[in-house]
Amino acid sequence: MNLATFIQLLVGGISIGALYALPALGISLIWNAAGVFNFANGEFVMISSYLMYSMLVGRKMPFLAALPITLCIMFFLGVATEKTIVYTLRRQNASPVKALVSFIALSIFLRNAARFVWGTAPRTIPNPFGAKPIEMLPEVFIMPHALWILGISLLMMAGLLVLFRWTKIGVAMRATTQNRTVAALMGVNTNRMVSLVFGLSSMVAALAGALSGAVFFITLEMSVMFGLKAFTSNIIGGFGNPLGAIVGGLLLGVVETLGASFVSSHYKDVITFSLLLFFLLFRPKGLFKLEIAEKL
Amino acid sequence: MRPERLKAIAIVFGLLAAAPLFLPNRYYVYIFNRGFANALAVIGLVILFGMGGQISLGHIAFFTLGAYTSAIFSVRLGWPSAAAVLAGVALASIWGAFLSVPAFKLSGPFLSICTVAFGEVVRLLTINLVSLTNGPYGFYGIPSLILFGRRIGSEKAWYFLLWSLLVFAILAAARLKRSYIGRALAAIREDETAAEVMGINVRAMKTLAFVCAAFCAGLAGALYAHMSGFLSPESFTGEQSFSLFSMTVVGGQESVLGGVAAGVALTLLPELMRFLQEYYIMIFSLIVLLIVLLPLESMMERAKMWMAGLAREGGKVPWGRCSK
Repeated sequence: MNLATFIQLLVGGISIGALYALPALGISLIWNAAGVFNFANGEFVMISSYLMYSMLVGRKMPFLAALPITLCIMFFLGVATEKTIVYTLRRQNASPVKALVSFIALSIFLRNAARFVWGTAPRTIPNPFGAKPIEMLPEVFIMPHALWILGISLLMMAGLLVLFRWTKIGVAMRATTQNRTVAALMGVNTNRMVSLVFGLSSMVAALAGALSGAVFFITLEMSVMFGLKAFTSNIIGGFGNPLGAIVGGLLLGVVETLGASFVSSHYKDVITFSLLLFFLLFRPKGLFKLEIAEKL
Repeated sequence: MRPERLKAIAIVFGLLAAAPLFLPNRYYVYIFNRGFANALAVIGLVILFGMGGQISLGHIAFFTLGAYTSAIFSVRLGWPSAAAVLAGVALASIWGAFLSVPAFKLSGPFLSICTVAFGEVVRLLTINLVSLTNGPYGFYGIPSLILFGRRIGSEKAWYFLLWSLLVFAILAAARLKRSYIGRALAAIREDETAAEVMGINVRAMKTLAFVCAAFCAGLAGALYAHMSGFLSPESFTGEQSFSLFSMTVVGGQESVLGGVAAGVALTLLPELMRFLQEYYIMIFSLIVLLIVLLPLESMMERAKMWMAGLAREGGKVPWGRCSK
C-alpha cells in the first residue's frame, strides 16, 4: 500500500465517519436534554433515506429541493416522538427501564413500518454529486461525494454550534438541559425546548440519511447499522458529550475503512462491535474524560 | 397462590397435555412445539429481565449458540444427540456467564446495546464461519434426538417432551422467584446500591441470572435444532430477539406463567392469522409500546373505584335524580 491509496482511504473514511457523527450528535443532544437514550435514531436515518429515495426516484425531484423537504418532515417526526412518547413517560414519572423499553419498541415499529411502505428490496438513488473522481494531489483521486458529505456535515455542525452558543433560543435549550426546574423558573418554556431538541436531533440524523444514499444501498438493515455505529461513536467520545460524539464518529469511520481494506471487508462490522465492547468494558467514559463537555 | 387458581392452572396444563390428540393435523402440533420452545426461552428472560431488571436484546444469540453447537457436535463430531444437546446448553450457559461481565458495570441502554452487539456478532459468525455452520445455505441433516434409547422423531413425541420440560421449567422458575435468589434479584432491580448494602452479592446474582437465561434459551435452541433438523441464520435475527423480549413484556415481565402464555400465544398468532405473517413484528412492537405507555395500573385502580362506587350507591341509576 502506497501513500496515495492511504490518503484516499483516509478521506473516504472521514467522510463515512461524518455520516456516523451526525446521528451520534443527535443521540447526545437528546440524552442531555431529556435523559433518555433514543434507540430509534438509526430508524430516523433510514426513514430519511427512504424519503429521499421516494422524492428523487419516485417524484423525480431535484436533490436540492428534496433535501430540505426531507429535513422538515423528519423535524416534525422528532417533535411528534417527543410529544407522544417522552411527554407521556415524563407525566407518569416512569422508570428509566420503561423509557428504554418504549424506545426499543418504537425503533422496531418504525423499521417494520418502513418495510410496510417501501418493501424489503434494497434501493439506490443516483449519486447527486457525480461519479467522476477528482485528482486532488498528484495520483490521489477522491470521489466528489466524499468532499460534499464532509462539507455539508461540517456546515450543519457549525450551524448547530452557532444556534446553541449565540442565539437566545439556544441558550434557553442549554439552560433546559442543565437544570430543568431553574430554567422553567426563569421563564423558559421547557416542554417546548425539549420538543425542539428532539426535532433538531432528528433533523441532524436525517441529514446523515439523506447524504448516505450517495454511498450506501438504502436497506432496512441500515437502521441497525447506523443505530449501533452512532452509539459506538458516542461511547468512544464519552457518552453525552457532543464534541466527543463527532470525534468518535470520524474516528470510527476511519478505523472501519482502514480495517476493511487491511483485514477483510466481511469482518467490517465485527471490528466495530469489538471496538464497542472494548470501550464499554475498559473505558466506559470514552477517549476523553468529560473535561471537554464543559466547554461546549 | 390460592388453591382455586392453582386448580385452574393445573386444568389448563392438563388440557394442553391432551391437546395433540385433538389437533387436526401434525402442522398444528409442530406450531405448538415452536411455541413451547419459545416459551422456554421466555422463562429465561423473565428471570433475567422481569426479576433482575437486566435487558437482553440479543437473546436469540443464546438460542443460536445452543442450536448450532448441538448440531455441529452431533453432525461434524458424531456425538450422540443427547450429549450434543448438553454440550450446546453448556456452551450457551458459559457465554451467558461471560455476558454478565459487562453487566457488572453497565446498566440501562449501555447494557442493552452490549447485548445487541453480542447478538449481532453471533449472527455474523454463523453466516461467515462457513466451514463450521455452512453459512447462509443453512445447516441441514441434523439427526433427531435419542433419549434413553428411544428415538424422538414424531411431532407428538416432541410435543410431550417439550411440554414436560416446560412444566418443569415453570415450577423451577416459580420456586426461584420465591427463593432468596429471586428476592435478591428483585432488590437489585429496584436499587442496586441498596441491595449491595443489604449484603447481596450483586455480581454473583447477575451472573446467575444471565446463566439461567442463557441456559433456558440454549436448551430451547438445542432442542429446536434436533426438532426441525435444519438451521438457517435467517431465522435467528435481531427481530427474533425482539419478539422474545416482547413476549416477556406482554406476559407481564415478572410473571412466569404470563411469559409462558404470551410466548405460546404470540408464536401461534402469526401462524393462525396468515395475513399477519409479514407484519406481526410491527403489531408486537405497537402492543409493547401501548402496554408501556398506557397507565394500565391506574386505569385498573380507577375502574375498581368506579365499580366500588356503583356498589355503594346500591345500584341507583344516575338519571334517577331527574325524576324527583
